[in-house]
Amino acid sequence: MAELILQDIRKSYGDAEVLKGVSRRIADGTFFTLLGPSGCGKTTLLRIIAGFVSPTQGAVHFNKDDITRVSTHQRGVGMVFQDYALFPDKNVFDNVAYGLRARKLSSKELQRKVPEYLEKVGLDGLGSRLPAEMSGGQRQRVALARALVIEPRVLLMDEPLSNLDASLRVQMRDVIRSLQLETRTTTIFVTHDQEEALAMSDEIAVMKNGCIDQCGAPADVYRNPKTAYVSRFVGSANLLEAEFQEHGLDGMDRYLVQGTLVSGRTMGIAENGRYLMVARPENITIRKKYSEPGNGELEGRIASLQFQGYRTSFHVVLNSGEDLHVETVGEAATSALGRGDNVIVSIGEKCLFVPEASA
Amino acid sequence: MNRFFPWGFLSALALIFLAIFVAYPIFGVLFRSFIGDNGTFSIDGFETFLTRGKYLEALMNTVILSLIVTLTCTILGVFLAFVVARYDIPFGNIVLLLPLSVLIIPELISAQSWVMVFGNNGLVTNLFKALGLPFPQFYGWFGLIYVMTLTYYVHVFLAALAALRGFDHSLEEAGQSLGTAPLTTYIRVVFPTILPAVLASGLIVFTLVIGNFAISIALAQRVPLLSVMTYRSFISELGGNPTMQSTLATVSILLVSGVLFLQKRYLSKRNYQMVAGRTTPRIKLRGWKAILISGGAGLIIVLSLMPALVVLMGSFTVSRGPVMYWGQFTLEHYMRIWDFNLAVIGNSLKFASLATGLGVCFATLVSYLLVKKRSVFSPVLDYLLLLPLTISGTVLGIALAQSFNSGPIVLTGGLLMVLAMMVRRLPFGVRNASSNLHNISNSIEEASVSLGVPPVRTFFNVVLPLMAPGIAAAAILTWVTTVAELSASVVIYQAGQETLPIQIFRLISSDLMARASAFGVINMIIILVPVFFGIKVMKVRLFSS
Repeated sequence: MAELILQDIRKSYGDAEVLKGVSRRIADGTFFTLLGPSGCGKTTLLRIIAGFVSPTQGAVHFNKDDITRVSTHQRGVGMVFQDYALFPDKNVFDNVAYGLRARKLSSKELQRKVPEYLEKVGLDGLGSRLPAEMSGGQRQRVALARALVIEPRVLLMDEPLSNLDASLRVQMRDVIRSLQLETRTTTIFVTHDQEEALAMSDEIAVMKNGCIDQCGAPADVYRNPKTAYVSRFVGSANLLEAEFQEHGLDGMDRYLVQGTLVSGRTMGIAENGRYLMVARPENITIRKKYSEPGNGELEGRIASLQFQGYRTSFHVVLNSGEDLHVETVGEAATSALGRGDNVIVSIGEKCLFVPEASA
Repeated sequence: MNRFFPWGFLSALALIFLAIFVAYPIFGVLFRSFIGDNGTFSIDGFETFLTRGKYLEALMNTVILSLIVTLTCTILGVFLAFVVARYDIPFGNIVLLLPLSVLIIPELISAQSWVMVFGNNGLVTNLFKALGLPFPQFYGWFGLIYVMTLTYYVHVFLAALAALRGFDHSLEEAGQSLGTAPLTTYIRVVFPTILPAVLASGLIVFTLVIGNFAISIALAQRVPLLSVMTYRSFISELGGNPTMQSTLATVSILLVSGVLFLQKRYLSKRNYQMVAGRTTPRIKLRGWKAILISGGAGLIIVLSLMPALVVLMGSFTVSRGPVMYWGQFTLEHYMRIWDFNLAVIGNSLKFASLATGLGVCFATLVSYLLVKKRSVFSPVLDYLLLLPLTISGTVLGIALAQSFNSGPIVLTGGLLMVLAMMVRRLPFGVRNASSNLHNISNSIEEASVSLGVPPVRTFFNVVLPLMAPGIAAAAILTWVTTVAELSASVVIYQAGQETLPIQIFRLISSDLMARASAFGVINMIIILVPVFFGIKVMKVRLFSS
């Protein structure tokens, strides 16, 4: 178990620069998620930490040890792969015991530790099964036990849930997270699924084009995205062009959006003066048009709506032609609304303003 | 982390090995065909080839024979595959022995057995003579086409059968639902989809006939053929001017390369993806149709397996010189082998085990390097591995003999024999060994390494067990072909290094069929034992096409 320090990691393949200088200190015991779309460099970064890829520049430290030049098999990392990567000719026990045997543990210790970890992942008594005889979820549990039983300094997980069906995925999140909390293993988790990232992590790093765009606790990243990209990748967001008007004394700045004055916090200075308003769907309220819109309010028409039980999702087309996604919770306020209704949407003060260039 | 060691280093070693023992001899032959008597550049060899009638005639004969045999094999193979796939015939399971028959009965023994039936002193020939009936001359076109067809049709049969079994029956039903009659449907829908497989196997037959030595030399006394002429030029001109040998070898290489090129160019593109569906239910035939169709199929099967039986009988039959006294049994031929020729069996076992051992190790390593550890050397390795496919055994023998008799590297005798046997089989060995490798995901190796096992030990711990079925198939098939190898070793061997096929070849040349038969039976047993062991005990799938 270790603190993991990444120092200005760069990686190029020929002319293509896949990682453009990633630095981060990940505290011991943290569940750290690398979140981003395919091609953002998250898997390459994970493989650099594992030692399968060597960085063009930069260093990886476990605690005080510089392991940049250390071979994978000497790093003491546990890895869980997207396709499970179980040894198909070995049964569950031998799969889990594999790393322990490489460490020359006595068979007595194997008999103690392997069942212990099989029990931890909920597979007690299945040691003699072959991987082919197990379901996807069970295989992933074996892979997890195999990676954890060696008590790795860092646990690396490469989109481990992407091959499972939806309900199993949610169930495995719990299994992984509670085991991680129990063992306090520093974990690097790669995913493109924002819901997974939000649900499991202590810390999320949103990656884009080989850089970490923003890093922080899930709630912080969700509430305070520093760029339009992060706002869209973590949760969903409405983005509308905004024009800076004045600084407010209350820390809220005022912007002109679609001709109406909206207040909110500014998340960065745009050098060219162009800003985007970021408004989460649930922070926008909607009502039938009985009166003219006031400040912070826009006029539009409901193009479609989806009733989803505890919440309702609206697709509103503003009079300017822009689309807006609005979510409301509870039925009472919205039961009167229907497709084609003219509505007033009100953008609350929870909205943010980010420099447009970062989109 | 050193990225070059060990995998890049091993790739380089494999590359050097293939460069010295495959590329150097083959390009040496091509090169020497342009060197005249006085050691300077000349095209005399090709001039002689093109102006002397006998060479051109041999070339034409070879091409014509290859075309005819390809055609007859295709007809026979597709017919049998069609019958087996579509009809429920009484001896359906025996058909599964057919691919084995090709493995177990070496070409030479097949040729020999048919000479014993239809040749000058043959069973049937003598029967016809006794009845006062004329019998067609077996040596020549008739015998060549007959024996080669029965030897090679299995390649087409296997390919066509695999394609037919993979055919989705729903397509056929779709054809019928759209208004075509069952047989018309079959011709319009089924045949076009199996055509690429059939054509590909047909081309294999074509190249096999061009390179064939064993059957040709036994039966082509009256028809000049390229392979026989190449061999004779080497035997008669040994130590003399190698221009003509090289020229003949070059022509053969060009011919085979041309065919392989055509195959790569046109056939590899026409591979239909068949969605795995239901297989066609087999129809039970009744009445005269049943007799005709199953009779035809049965005849082909009987004829395919007959050589083993004839040779077995012959080996126990009393003989004086070339004359066989059928019906009188003796153990004399085996006693003679026991008394005088045990060394021949020893040679066969020694050379074949060395060639198989080395070949399989090499194939295992190279297939792993090519599939999993690509490096800058890999594309070159890929190409070098194709080279042995372009040369017949005779040409390989000549190339090795010419290249290593003198010059910077001198190899003789046993080592050269082992090398020849090993090199011929390499492309197939690599293909067998890598058959499972593509299905092994890279992450399995990475998992092992991340758990603390270094890369080389990971290969032995994790990859090798998963490759095992392919390696076993490679080992058995290499063994089978090296024990039966004649065309290259007959060019290279020196006194005291006779193998079973060489001994059989010499006895057939002296018309001592009964004694040849005894060697043949021993040869077949040596082939059969590991095949049987592999299939029954180790459950190796030899024909996973």
